[in-house]
Amino acid sequence: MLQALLLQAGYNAALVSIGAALLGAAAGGAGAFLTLRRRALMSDAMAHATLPGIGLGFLVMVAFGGEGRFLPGLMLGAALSAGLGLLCVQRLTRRLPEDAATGAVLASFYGFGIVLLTVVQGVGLGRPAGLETVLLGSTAGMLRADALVIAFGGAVVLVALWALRRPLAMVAFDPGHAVLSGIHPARMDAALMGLVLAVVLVGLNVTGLILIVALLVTPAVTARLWMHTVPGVALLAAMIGAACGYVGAAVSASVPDMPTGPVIVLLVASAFGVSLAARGHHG
Amino acid sequence: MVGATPLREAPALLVTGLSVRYDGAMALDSAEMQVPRGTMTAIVGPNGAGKSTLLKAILGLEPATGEARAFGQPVAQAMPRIAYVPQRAAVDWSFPVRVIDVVLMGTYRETGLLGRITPALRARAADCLARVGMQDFATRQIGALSGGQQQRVFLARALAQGAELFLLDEPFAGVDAATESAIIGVLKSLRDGGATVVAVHHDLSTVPAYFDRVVLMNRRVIAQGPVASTFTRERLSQTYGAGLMLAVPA
Repeated sequence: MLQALLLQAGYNAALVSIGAALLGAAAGGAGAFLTLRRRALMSDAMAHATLPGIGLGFLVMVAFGGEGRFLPGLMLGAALSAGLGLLCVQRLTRRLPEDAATGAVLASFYGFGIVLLTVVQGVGLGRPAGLETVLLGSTAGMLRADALVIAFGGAVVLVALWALRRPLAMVAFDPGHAVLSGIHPARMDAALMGLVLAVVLVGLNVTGLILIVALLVTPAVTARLWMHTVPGVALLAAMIGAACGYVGAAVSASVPDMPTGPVIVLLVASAFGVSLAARGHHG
Repeated sequence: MVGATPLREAPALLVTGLSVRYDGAMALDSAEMQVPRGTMTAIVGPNGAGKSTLLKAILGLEPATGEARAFGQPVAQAMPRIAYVPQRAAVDWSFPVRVIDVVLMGTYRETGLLGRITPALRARAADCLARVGMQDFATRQIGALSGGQQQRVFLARALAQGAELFLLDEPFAGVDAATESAIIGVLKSLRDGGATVVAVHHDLSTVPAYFDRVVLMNRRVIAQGPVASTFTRERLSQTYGAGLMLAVPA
């Protein structure tokens, strides 16, 4: 395990650890703005809504004679289905409270996805073995190309967050003033949701879709116990996410059959617990 | 004839037939209002009279029918010349933001998306804080301040915008006496410098001392003009209903 932590467990393992660190940084940073905007539950719904798209994406790729587990193809399906889920939440909030709409979409999309996945594995099309790793994440069988996609995606999200940090903060703090300053809150919300979606997609193979919400939210709320400015919170959340992603991927790679997502989530939860004990009275 | 008025002489604010409906009920009923430049105007009326709604509708923060022009232009185009100080309850006080950061938000139009916050902008923000007497609180958390201090910080943010028209929603609601005199001092110096100030105001007893013009409203504008001729017992009972008993000039 020490070898894995020190990037000496082979080139691929090192690449996976670095990818997980960049994903953690992107998730922590995006999560900081997400929680400031009070949209944490929305990200959970979005993550769960990716599952039908993954199942359908697999079927479509197999139907066209391709490799069903081709990651970019699965990501595209996941993105379309998550987008549809978000649209459903938006439509439903005209008639329902937002939390009820979010819960309804989360559960029904996830249920449909599980049914699809079960069917896919039952009929034995393509090579669906291992497709269920998108639920809880596994870096064990990850290809080098996958790790590069993760690292690149994480880096792009971080750059975009840095560029948009001021309007995102202004919309979260005082949407009325943001409008009067020439910022479009709806566009900023869409941009933020797009970045969170990118984190979810990139995280499919690392934390899995069930637990990505923990990597988005927990570093952010931990950082808020220590920092008192938006850049401070976002930066610390990104660092916590990076450290936990890195260590979690290394641990998971060195213990047989250990899923990556739960390990990373336990690490961020510990960081939160320690911070709460140390700083809780400041909150 | 609005179109014929040269822009240089157009009033700071001209509101024509502005209406807002909430679920079919009229919250604001074809408001007509004109605010000359370089004046201080109080918007006065009972609870639920649509005073805050009027400000929000003018700014486009509330869907409305009718028209609002500032300095002869549609408000959307004149927005860089307008600053708005919302009611206290409008933001999340647990937000991780320091006082100086809130004031710097007033400069966003000048810095834009990727623009840097220059030392000159920082100096201006610090100066705006000093004008409201909050220079010693620059690095405090916004949520750690009293209500009056928070109100002064939001006024400083408006000052940092460098606007010519200031719209304030109950700037004196729930603030201490020190804050009230600090705010009124700043507003009067803004007016004396040529800016225009419009504030929703609750305390009828201070209207004559603080303002030179008044708009009386109850869903629609009932009367408007200089305080001396408009702020009368008769007009007030028209606005508030006949039961009003207050020490106001006859």
